[in-house]
This record gives sequence, C-alpha cells and structure tokens, in this order.
Amino acid sequence: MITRLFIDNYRCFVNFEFKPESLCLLVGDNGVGKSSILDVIELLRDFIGGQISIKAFGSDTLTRWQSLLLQSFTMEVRINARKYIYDLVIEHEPQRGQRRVNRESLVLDGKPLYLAQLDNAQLKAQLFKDNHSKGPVVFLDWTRSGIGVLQAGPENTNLCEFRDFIRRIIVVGFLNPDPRLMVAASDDEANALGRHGESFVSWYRSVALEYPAAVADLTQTLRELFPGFSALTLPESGDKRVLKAQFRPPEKAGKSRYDEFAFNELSDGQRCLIILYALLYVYREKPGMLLLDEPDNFIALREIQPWLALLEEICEEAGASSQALVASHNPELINYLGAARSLKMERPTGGGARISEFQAVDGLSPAETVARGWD
Amino acid sequence: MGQRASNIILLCEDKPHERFARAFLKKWCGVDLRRRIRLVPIPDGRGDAKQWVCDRFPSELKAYRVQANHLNNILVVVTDVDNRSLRQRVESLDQACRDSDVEVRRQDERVVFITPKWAIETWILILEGQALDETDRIEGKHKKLAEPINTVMAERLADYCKNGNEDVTFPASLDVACLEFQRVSGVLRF
Repeated sequence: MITRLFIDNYRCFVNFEFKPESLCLLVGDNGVGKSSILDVIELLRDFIGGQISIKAFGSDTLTRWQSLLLQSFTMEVRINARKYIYDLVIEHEPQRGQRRVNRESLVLDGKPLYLAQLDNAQLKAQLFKDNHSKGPVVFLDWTRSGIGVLQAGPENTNLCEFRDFIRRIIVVGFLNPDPRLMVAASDDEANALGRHGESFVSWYRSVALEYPAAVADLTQTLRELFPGFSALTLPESGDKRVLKAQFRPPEKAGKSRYDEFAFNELSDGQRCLIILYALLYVYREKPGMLLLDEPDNFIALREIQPWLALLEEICEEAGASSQALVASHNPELINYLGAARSLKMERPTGGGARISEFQAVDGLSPAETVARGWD
Repeated sequence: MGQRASNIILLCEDKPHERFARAFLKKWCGVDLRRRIRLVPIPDGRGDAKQWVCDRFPSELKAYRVQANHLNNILVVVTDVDNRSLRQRVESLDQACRDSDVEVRRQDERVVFITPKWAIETWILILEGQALDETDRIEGKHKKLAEPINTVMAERLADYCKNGNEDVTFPASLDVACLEFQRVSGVLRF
C-alpha cells in the first residue's frame, strides 16, 4: 500500500504530504485537489509502468503561482512489510515546451535499487542488484522512467516487485460514463480497466479466465440486483467478443429463451454497478490498490451502502496488502465511511492544497459537517 | 407478504457493533444479507453513542411499525450495557419511547435488542478464551484486542445461538440476545 505521497509544484500541490490508511475517503469542496491526488498516482503508475513518457507531465501542470521549474514526487510503498521509496524530479522548460527527468530513484528499506541523475546533459543511471551491490551504469532516454523500461532479470526482482505493484493500481471514476466509451465489443483481453471503465469488457475477458470465483460472486450479486438477471456472457461476434447480460423474460411473455442485452444497452447505473462489483470481487481474489473517483455517480441510493460494506469487508480481510482511496461528495458515502476513515482537503485563500484529519461537528453527521464547510 | 426478512434495519453504536451484527446475521441466515441490511448512519465517535441510539430508537420503531404490516422488516438494536444491568438498558430504550409518545416495544414485534454486557468485546474475548467476566470493564486495550477477531467470533456466536454446542460458559447477556434472535428466526430463514 502507499503509505506516503509527497507532491511539490504540481497543480495545487506545494510541499504537499499525504499519508493514507488502507481505506481512506477524501472529502472537501470542488477544486481542492481530491481528484488531482488520484491523477498524480495514475500518472506515476503509467510513467513507472513504462506506459507513458514525461510528456504527460505538461508544463501546464506546474503550480501557476510559482516560478520554480522543478516538479517533485515521492511515493513510499509498503509491500510485504518492506518499504520502497520512489523519487522523481522533473525539470521543465516551459518556453520550449520541453521537460526531462532530472532525477529518479528507488530505495528499498533504506538501500538503493536504482538511481538516475542528469549528468552533462545525459541521464546517467546506476543500477543496483537485489543485494544492493552496484550493477552497470547505463545512459537512458530522459523522457522515460528507467524503472519502466528495465528488463526483468534474476538480479532485479525487488525493483520488478515494486514496478508490478505500481502497474496493478486500478483507477476508476464515473465522472463521465459516456455510453459511447463503454462499448460492449472487445478485440482482446486487457489488464487495464480505463479511468472511466471504457476498457471494462476487455478487462472482464481477462479476469473471467483468471478469477472464476470472482465471476461466480459477481453473477450471484447481479441476480440480487437486477430482477430476472441470469448471467453475463461473452459470445463471439466476428473477430470480437461482445459482453451481454442475459435476463429471463417476464412470465407473461410466454417465452422460454433468455433476452440478451449488450453491455452498452444497459443503463448507466447498471453498467457502473457491474463494474464496481466486478472490481471488488477481483480485488478480493487479488488485493492491490484501488483509486475510486466519485464511484457513487449514477448508483441508486440504496445500492451505495451494500457496495461500501463489501469494500470495507474486503479491505479488512486483506489487511496491509490492500488499499482503497475514494474521493466523493455523496452524503451516503461520507456518512457510511464516517469521519474516522475520512481526510479533509482544503485550499485556504486559494493557495496550496492541505490535508488533515476530519472530525464531524458534535451533533452533526459527517456529511452535514462537510456540507456546512470549514472556512 | 413472503416469509423472508425484507429489510433489516441496524441501529448500533459503532463500527465494531456493525461488523459483529453483519457477520452474525450472515452466519445465522447462511447467505449474505448485505443488500437487505440498512445501517442507520452512525454519528462521529466523539459524542455519546449510547445516548444517540436511545434518542434515535423511537423514530426507528415508528418507521418499523409503519412498514411491519406489509414487509417482513426487522429492527436490530445493538447497544452495550456497560456498568448498568440489562434491565436498566432496556428500560432506557423504553423510556425514550415513552418520552416520544411511542408505544414501547412489544414482544411480538420483530424488534431485536442485542445488549452485550459489558460490551460486545466481552463476548468476543470470552469466546477467545480470555478470563473475563461480564462485570469486567472493557476499555481501549481490550477493544483493540477484540477488533481483529470480531468477525470470526461473531460467526461462532451465531453458531452457538443456533445450536448451543460450545463448551465455553457464556455470559447471561449473550443468552438473552440468542433468545431475541430465536424470536424472529422465522423470517431469518433463506
């Protein structure tokens, strides 16, 4: 799990430090940085995972009221009771629209695993073996994470453990569950779900094979949720597979065959519920890190608490190997997770974001406290 | 009206109570009741949670009665007895009703009082084999000790309540709670 995140000179974050627990709810007004925290973790995931170059850290992400051109990120991660510390410093040249890695490092329990620094206009990386003895020095592309491009080998298993953990972080939000994005057909299996669930069908194809128990739990839950629901199927359609939901027709229709609806024919709320429960059941089989940006959007009020109860139960079962960070404005969600699980975010006088423990006002519910604000 | 419970409204003091009740009900019924359980949102932990349960109980009882004729709803109230007697704790709930002009709970209603003495952690730690008595004050250290084993022990307690085949001698307050659940067991069959 991520135990500490430090961000400096990125959007509204200036010397910002965040120490999340295993299940953590971010509350606060619009524009205080709740989604931006999730954005940063998503960016670092894709950068360290080798999916994106440093171009994704645009100059427009520099904190506007600062003139500093260095942007810093530190992420402390605990995996199997060991502490990894990842550092990244990015150097910006806004006039030329360019940026490069100034420094990138990875340390395990205080000992180095990887260190890259700019040296005479080159990114020079010192590699270390698992026993922390020095390995080769290599010169790398300064637009990419060296950790993301290194080949896995018998002497860098620790570095790969960290990279694999980061790559498995799932970020989902339903800020814009555009039906056109959530297509029903899939060309192939995929490990990534997509920020708005747009790759759900490809992801589901992959997990359906790997985690049959999760599929069984999901089916059972969907039968309770949707009257008449029978199963999700993935029939072939040309060179693709299409995710379909089978429903028993109403008795009076006198039909014996199931009615089938393609995934994109279901309602926004039904699709979001399928994704949210699928995520949790897979997460129970394979704990990791979930970042959820307003997951409650489009979900019926009575469905929020049961889903949260399952999330909480799974986080408790998995212990330190799991983590869920949730950003939400929904009173139902805020009241259920309560003040003890919440952190309050604010930007006094419009400056840098701040985060602190949240306490409900005596006599008020947590959601009512949030609704009344704290400024 | 079907025979199974529709909504189970859970009125309790804190998260350990909620966890206990959910695990207990799941084991008792043999199925996951997550979607049937509605937790009355618990206020922030700084106030007097026991008083909050008392204050809230009359309106939940009224709401239960409005729906009881057409739904197999159940109201489960979990509140620690602490240093008082079981009778005094139930009397405080009854008094809250009288103060609100609501008829007190009747024995034929599907309203279950779970009133552990000293606290829910007492039951859990006794089952764990700790040398505790109902009158032993449960504080922070004990609560922390009980927290990680809450769910497993809740399941064992549900087994005990249903089948009564545990070797451990249980506190009287648990036997009372078992009787409460047995009273509504007709709608807890799934």
